[in-house]
This record gives sequence, structure tokens and C-alpha cells, in this order.
Amino acid sequence: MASSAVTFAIASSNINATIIEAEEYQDLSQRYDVRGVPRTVINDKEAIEGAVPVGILLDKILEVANPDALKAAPR
Amino acid sequence: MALIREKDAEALRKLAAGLQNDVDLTLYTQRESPLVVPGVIPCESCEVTEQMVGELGTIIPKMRVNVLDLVKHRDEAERAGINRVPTMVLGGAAQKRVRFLGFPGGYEFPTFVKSVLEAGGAPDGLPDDVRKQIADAVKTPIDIKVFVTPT
Repeated sequence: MASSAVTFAIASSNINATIIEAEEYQDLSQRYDVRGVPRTVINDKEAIEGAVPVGILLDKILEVANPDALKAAPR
Repeated sequence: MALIREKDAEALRKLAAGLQNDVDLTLYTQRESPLVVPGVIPCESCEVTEQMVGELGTIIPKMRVNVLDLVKHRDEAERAGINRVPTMVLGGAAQKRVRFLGFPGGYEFPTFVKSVLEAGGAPDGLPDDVRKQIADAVKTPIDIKVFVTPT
């Protein structure tokens, strides 16, 4: 997850990635409700638990980047 | 004693040999002081992090390590939005958009090294269609935080 986040950040000037050592920064871990690692938080609102395929991270990023597109999509 | 074993250093030298770009890495740290500074909490992993990036800087010729002390370089740290140590900010192709908070040891070390190499222009393995998708769709700031542990 960390590696994919970094790759995306290097690929896009609109993406920042911060890799946080959860045990060292327990205040941040508490704030972001970290109960297991990896936990990925996007724009402080969407989270992904565990290591997932890179496509899922990409989908979540696109979803956060384009919330209107998601609303407009047929259900 | 070196943190990076010679066998690993040799493998890294080979990986780093083809790097195109310079990669500057700024480590914000807090060196031990004989003085007790009010409000400053001792940093347990700063020393080992500084040693690790120092070693990496001698192994990867394109990597330039800049070490700043959070107390001594307070203004610079504030401008960069750094208020925790150790924090590493990756330059090169990452253009300071990639940060590591804490010591990236253990299982996180390969991720850290891969990030440095990608910032230096090493292939990232991202398929062209995914790169295009990101370029086309991500027009607003996206902040990704990944919480990890070294074990």
C-alpha cells in the first residue's frame, strides 16, 4: 500500500503521500483510528483496511477525486 | 556498526547505477542536546534514522541527504509544515510530495528504498493506462496517509 501510494504521488502532482510509522506516532494512529496496519486514509475521509490490490487503491482515489462522477453513475 | 549489510548495499548499488535524476532527501531530526529544552520531547528513532539515510546516501550516488535539526532550523521546518521528527521529505521526481514519518526499518525499508529509487527515475511499473487515468481524473489535491509498522 505504502509503495503504491508513493508511486501515485510521484506520478501525479496532485497527490501527496505520507507514510507513517504507526507505533512511533500513536497520537496520529488514534486520530485516524488505526487498529491494524496497513491502514490507508485518503483526504482524511475514506479509509482502506489492510493490504489490497493496487486497483482498489486507485478506485478509491478516483472516487475521492471525482465524487460527482460517482453520484452521476447509474446504480 | 552499519545498518545496511554489505550484501544489501551491493544490490542497491546495482539498482541505483542507472538512476537519471538527483534525489534530494531532507531529514528533519532532533539531535541530542545536553540542554533540556522546554516542550521538546527526546526523539528515540532520530539517531538511527540519520545513520540509515547517511549510509544510503553513500550507496546511492544520486542521493543527496540534507539533515535539519527541528530546533535549530525551526523556521525552515515550519515553512515545510514539519512538526514531528524524524520526518523525511523526498525530492527528485517526488518533488516533496512524499514524506516518511518515523524510522522506516524492517519490512518498511524496501518500500523506503524503492521510493528513493523511483524519485531518482527508476521504473515504477505503473501501467500506461493507469498513469493516464490518474492524470485525467485527479485534478484536485489528494492526500494519502498510509499507516505502517516495521514488523
